[in-house]
Amino acid sequence: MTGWSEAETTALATRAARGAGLPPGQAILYGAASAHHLAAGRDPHALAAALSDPQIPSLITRIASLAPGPHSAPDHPLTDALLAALPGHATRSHYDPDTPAPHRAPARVDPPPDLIALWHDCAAKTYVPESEASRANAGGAED
Amino acid sequence: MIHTAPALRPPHRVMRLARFGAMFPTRLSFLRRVVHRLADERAEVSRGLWDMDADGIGRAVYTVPFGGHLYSLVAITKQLADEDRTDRVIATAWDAAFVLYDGIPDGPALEQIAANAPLQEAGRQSERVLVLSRANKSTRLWDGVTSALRAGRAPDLAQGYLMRTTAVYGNGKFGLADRAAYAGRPGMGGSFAAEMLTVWLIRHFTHDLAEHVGQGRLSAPQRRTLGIGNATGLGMAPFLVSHPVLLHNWMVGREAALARALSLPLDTARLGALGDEAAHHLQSWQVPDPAHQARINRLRADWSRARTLLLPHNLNLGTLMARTASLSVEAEELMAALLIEAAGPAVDDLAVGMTDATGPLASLPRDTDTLRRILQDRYAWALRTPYAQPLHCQRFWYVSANKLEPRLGNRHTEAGAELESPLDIARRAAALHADLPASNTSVADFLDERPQHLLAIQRAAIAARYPYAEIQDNLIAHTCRPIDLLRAKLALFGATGFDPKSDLWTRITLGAGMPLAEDVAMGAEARWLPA
Repeated sequence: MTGWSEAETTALATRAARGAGLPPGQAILYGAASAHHLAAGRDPHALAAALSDPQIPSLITRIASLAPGPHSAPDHPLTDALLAALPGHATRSHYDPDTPAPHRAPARVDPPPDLIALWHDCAAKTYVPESEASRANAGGAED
Repeated sequence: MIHTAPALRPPHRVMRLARFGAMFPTRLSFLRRVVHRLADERAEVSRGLWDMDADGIGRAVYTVPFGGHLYSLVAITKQLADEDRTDRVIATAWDAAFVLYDGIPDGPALEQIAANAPLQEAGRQSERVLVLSRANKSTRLWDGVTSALRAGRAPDLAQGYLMRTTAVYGNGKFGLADRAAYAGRPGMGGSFAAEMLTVWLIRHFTHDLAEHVGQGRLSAPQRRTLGIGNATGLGMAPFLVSHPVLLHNWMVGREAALARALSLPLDTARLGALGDEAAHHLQSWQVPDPAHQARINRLRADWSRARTLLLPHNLNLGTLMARTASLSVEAEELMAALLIEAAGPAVDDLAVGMTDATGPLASLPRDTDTLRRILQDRYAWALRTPYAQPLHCQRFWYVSANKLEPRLGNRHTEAGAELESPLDIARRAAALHADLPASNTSVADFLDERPQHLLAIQRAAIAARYPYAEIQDNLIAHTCRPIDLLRAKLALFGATGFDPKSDLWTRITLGAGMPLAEDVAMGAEARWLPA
C-alpha cells in the first residue's frame, strides 16, 4: 500500500500528543503540523523528539498566539510545520490569519515505524479500557 | 419600497440540541445535491462486472461519470452466518463490503480491494480508494423480497431497505484518499459528496442483488421505494463539535435558505402540495419504539394544524412560521424544510457554501478584555452553568480502548473520566472566563501562565467570526442526548425514517423515494420526502 493519508496522520498525531500530556489546543496544532512536516519531507524524528521535549508546549502556544502582521518566529525544527498548521497564511516573518494558505494538494506520507509505534503508545494513554458500563453505553448497541 | 430579506434565525435559537433533534432533510441535504447533479449531467451508471453465484456471493463493479471523472463502486459480498450479523461497531464481518474507487479498477486493483475492503478497519486502502463502507442485509425485508420474487409474486413493500450500512468512511481513514485530494473536482466539493455518491450506488447494487438472488424483477416504483439503511451511533457525534467552521457553514446555509424562502412570493398551490407530501410522509413513518412513535404521533397532530395555515387566503410566510413554531419545535423545523423546498432552485446556490474549503480564518484575540467580551457575547449560554454540580458534569466523552470509538460515560460511576475527550466546550469556555485576569493583559502572556486554555481561546476566536459554530448546550450534562446530534447530521445528509434505538444510536434510511439510476440518466429530479 502507498503510505498514509494526511488526515489519518493528523488524527493519530493529535491523539498521541494528548497522550504525551499536551493540552488539547496544543495537541491539535501538533497533529496538524505533523502532517505538514512529513508532507514537506522533513526529518520525522523531530516529531518524536517533540513529544518528550519540555519546551514544546510553550513553543506551540507562542506560535498559536502569533499576532497578525510581521513577527520573528522562534527557531525550531517544527516551526515551519506549526506555522503551516495555523489558520490563514503564516510564514516565518509574517502572519495573515484572514487569507487562506496557498492551496497544497495533500501528499501521501510515510511516517517511519518507530514514530508510528511511539504515536500509538502515546495515543493509547488516552483510551479508556472496556468495562461492563462502557459496553452498555456503546452507541450501536445490539437490538 | 426597499425590500429587505428576513434576518436569519439567531444562533441562540437555532444551535440548540432540542432543535437539532428535530431537523428534517431539505433540498440542500448532501445526498439530494449529489443526485441533483447526477440528474443534471444525465449520468449513466454502467455495470462493468457482475460475478455473483446463485446466493449472491461474489463481486460487482459499477461505474458512473460524475463531474467529468469516472468513479466505481466495488462491491464484495460474503456468506455471513445470522449470528454474526450485527449493527455493532465491534462486528468483524458483514454481508457486503464496498469501496468507491477513483476511476475503474484494473485486475490488480480489484484484487487489492477484494483483499482489504472486507477487513474494513483492519485493512489498508490505497489513495485511489475514496470511500470505504459495509452493509448487512435487513433480513426481514431481504427474505421477503427475494422469496416473493422466486415465487413470481410482487413483494409486499412498505418503506424500507434491503441492506443497512453500519459505517461509511472517508477522508483518509485507513489509508483512503484525503478529501482535499478530490474536493476540487466538480461535484465532489460538497460536504460528504463522495460518501453520498457511494451510498446512492450501494442502494442501486442492493436492488440488483435482490433481483439476482430472487431471479425476478422489481418494478421501477418498487425500487424507488427502497432506500439504503444505515445504523449510526456515537462515532458520528463528536464530528459536529470538532468541525465548528463546517457546522457554521452548514447551519448558515440552511438558515439563509429559509430566510430567502420567506422573502419569495411562493406558489400557494405548491405549498399546499408539499404540506400534503409531508403529511403522507409522517403517516408512513412508523417505528417500533413506543416513545418515539408517540413523538411522531404528536407531530402528525401538530402538522395537521400547521397544514391549515398553508391555505392560500391571506398567506403570510412570516406569520406561518411563527404560528407553526408555537405548535412544536419539530413542526417548526418541518415547516422550515418545506419552505426551503418550495423556494426551489432559488436557494440551490447556497449549497455551494455548505463546506469548508479554507479552515478557520480567525486569529486569537489580542488581549484578555477583548477575549472576555467575546466570551460574554458568544458564550453567555455557557457561563451560567454550575459545572461542579454532579448533574451538570455527569457525562464524559471518551474513546474506548478496544474499538477506538467515541463513547459516553458516567463521571460519577465509571472509571476513565481523567481521559475524557475535549468535547466539553461549554465548561471550558466558563473555566476560561473565570480565569481571566481583572486587569487587561495580552492573550499570549495569559497563555504563558495558563496554556490549558488554548483550546477554549481558539474556539472563542472561531465563534467570534462564525456565530453558528457552537452547539449552545452543555454536552456533559445528564440531559445531553447524543441522538440529537445524530439527527441533525443525518438530516443534513438527507436521511429520513429516523428510528432511534436508544439515546445513543439510530437507524435511518437514505435515498428512499429518490431517483434510480435509470431516472437520473433521464434527468429526473428528486422529491423532498418519501411516502
